[in-house]
Amino acid sequence: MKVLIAEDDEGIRLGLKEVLEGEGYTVIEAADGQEAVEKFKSSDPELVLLDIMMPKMNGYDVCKVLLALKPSLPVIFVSAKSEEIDRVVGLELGADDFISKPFGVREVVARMRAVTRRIFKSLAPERRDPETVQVGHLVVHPQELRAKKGDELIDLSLRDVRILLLLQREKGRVVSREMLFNDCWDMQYLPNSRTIDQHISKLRKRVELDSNNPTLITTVHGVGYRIE
Amino acid sequence: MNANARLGLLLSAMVVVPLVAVGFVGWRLVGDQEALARHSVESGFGERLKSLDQAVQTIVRGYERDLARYAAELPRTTDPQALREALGRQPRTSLALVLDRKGRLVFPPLVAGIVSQRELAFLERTRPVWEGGLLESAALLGALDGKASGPDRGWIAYFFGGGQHFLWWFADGRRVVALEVSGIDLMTELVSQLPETPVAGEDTSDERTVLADATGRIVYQWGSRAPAANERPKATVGMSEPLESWTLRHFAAESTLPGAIAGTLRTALVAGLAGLGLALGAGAWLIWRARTRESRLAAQRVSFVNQVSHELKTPLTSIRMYADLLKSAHEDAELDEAEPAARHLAVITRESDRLSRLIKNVLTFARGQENRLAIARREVVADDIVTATLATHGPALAQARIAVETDLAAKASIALDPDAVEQILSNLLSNVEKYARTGGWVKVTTRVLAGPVRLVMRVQDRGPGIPTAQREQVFEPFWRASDRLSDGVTGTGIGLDIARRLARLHGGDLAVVDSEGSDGQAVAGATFELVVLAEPGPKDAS
Repeated sequence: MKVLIAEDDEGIRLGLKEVLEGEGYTVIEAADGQEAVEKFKSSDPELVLLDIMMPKMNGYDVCKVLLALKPSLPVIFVSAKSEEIDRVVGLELGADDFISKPFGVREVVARMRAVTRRIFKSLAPERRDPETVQVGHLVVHPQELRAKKGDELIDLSLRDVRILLLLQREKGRVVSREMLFNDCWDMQYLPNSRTIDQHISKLRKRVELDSNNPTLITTVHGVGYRIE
Repeated sequence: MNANARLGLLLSAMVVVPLVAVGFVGWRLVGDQEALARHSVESGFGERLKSLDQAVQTIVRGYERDLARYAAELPRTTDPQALREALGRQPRTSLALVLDRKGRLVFPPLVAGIVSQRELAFLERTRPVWEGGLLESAALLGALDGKASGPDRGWIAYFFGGGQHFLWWFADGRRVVALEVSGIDLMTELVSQLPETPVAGEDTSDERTVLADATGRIVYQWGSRAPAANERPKATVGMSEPLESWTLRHFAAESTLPGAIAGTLRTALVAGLAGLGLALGAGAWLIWRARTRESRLAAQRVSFVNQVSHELKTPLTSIRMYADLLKSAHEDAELDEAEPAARHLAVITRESDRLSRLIKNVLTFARGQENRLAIARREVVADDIVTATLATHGPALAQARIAVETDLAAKASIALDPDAVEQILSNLLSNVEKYARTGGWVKVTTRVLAGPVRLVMRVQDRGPGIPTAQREQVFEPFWRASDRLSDGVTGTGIGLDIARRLARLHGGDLAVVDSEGSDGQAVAGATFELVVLAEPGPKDAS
């Protein structure tokens, strides 16, 4: 899923990029309002994170232009302006959410997942993932970005869902790290294999019944991973 | 009405009310002074008229002396001719009544052929006097009997033929002699002897003093003023006997003196009022300037802090976000939490969280000061907010060795401002961390109660507690307990003020309540109780 981040502060922009890419989104960056409109036209993102106070064109104006081009576009404002009136103006313009600075990674991730769930629900039925997929002891709800392990509800990232669906699709077969990268990372360059291993490790901690003795996602040494 | 408008109104009242009060009283006093002066002037006129009356009395007394002499000189006889001759020698009278000691008329003789036509006419016009009226006078009877100590002489005035006539009577114990005095004669005598001016040497050119007889006819007048037909005299005095039906009236132009006095007093009053107004106005202006300057400076300070806090948000976002990313990388690398790098990162995270809360508090406080604080309700589960807030404060509480206990039972979805509730709880937990460290324990209890639907949240610690006398003070902005409790404790002193404001915006409140143990007994420590109404109340700004 492509996300456009329009933020003039480079530190925040790159930090957000890293967070969202970690979640499994493909990130397009814009350092000002005008660039945001241009990048939107050229790359057609499915979600936009907009700062309000930006050079050349402010976030409210960018939001108006983008929503005129694509009325169903989900927009999240990210701003140091946190007054109720700013929030109201943003939401009145048609934004889906408003994240106030300073924010933590967890907050951004939670808001992004919430908006992503709404996007999934608004997709045409044929474009939607199945509502539930049984992956071993795990019941995955791809559209919900959640899984159920017994009674426990687990929040999943976009990437977690794609990994689980890929492994389930290839059930019984080894899924190489390259396959995982190609299917789940949407990146131009290959992150080192440690990145993939670390991600699988973190996923196991949440989805395995006993993360020290994984039974759902098993490692095939030197090749990749497999779901039995 | 904002504070400036209230101050303006108060200062205006400070200037206007004393001015109006002093002006009213002053104007009344000037009016009284004017009336007093006018009364004084009119009294002067009255006195002048009384002195004229005295002058007339003097003339009348002279007249009376002449008449007494005539009466004495009148022969003691009943012979009409002798009496007529005696009377004929007197210049002031020519007719008289003589009554014997029993009150019977002896002269003029009421006998045809003896009485003259003139005497007959005289008898006719004095009939009420000699036929009964005179005898009915107790004084006269007394005088005739020689028993009473009443007057033995006097005047009787009567009207006849369109003119006033007088009888001056004298009783010597054996007879009564009543001499007729013509009104015209008396008037002529008065006129010839009255002074030319009512008061010697005084300019009466703009005045007129009038002596009027019983019919209102002017007998004599002084001064050249011509009073208008309906002009009211400035003073009127009734004359003394025998002219008691006559009046003295004084006409004068409105005296300029009372007006002049009042004018001077009014000028002084207006000048005084102007001076007072200037002084009060200057005072009010100085107060206004000081207050507005103070407000402006305070507003500038708030605005500056607001701006700085805003500017801090962007770098703080980066710090928090990269600390989170670094923490995530450490978790990926399965770095031990005891590693220095992990500990350092925990400090960065904790402190940046603290800075975030501080900035949020400062901005909320600034909005509260500018009356722009508002809440935005949405359906939330209160316990989710509590859990998330406790998670954020977890590291700081753990570091302060404060154990966290919860009793959460607010699972129902209710309409609250989650950010506000989070900020309230966050401030309460932050206070526990700062002031109740010694207790080493905090308990958060939540309930959703009905009628009206409300969230009740208690935050209880086992710290030194809050004295009953300070239970309200702690909510005042910038108030800090001035004892060892707050020594060395950092803080802005605005947390509880903000927390209460946010609670009240929900139609609820935040208060310090008695601390109770699980057995209901009072225990040491402080307990804050937050009540937040789920239904939008009248205080809702959203």
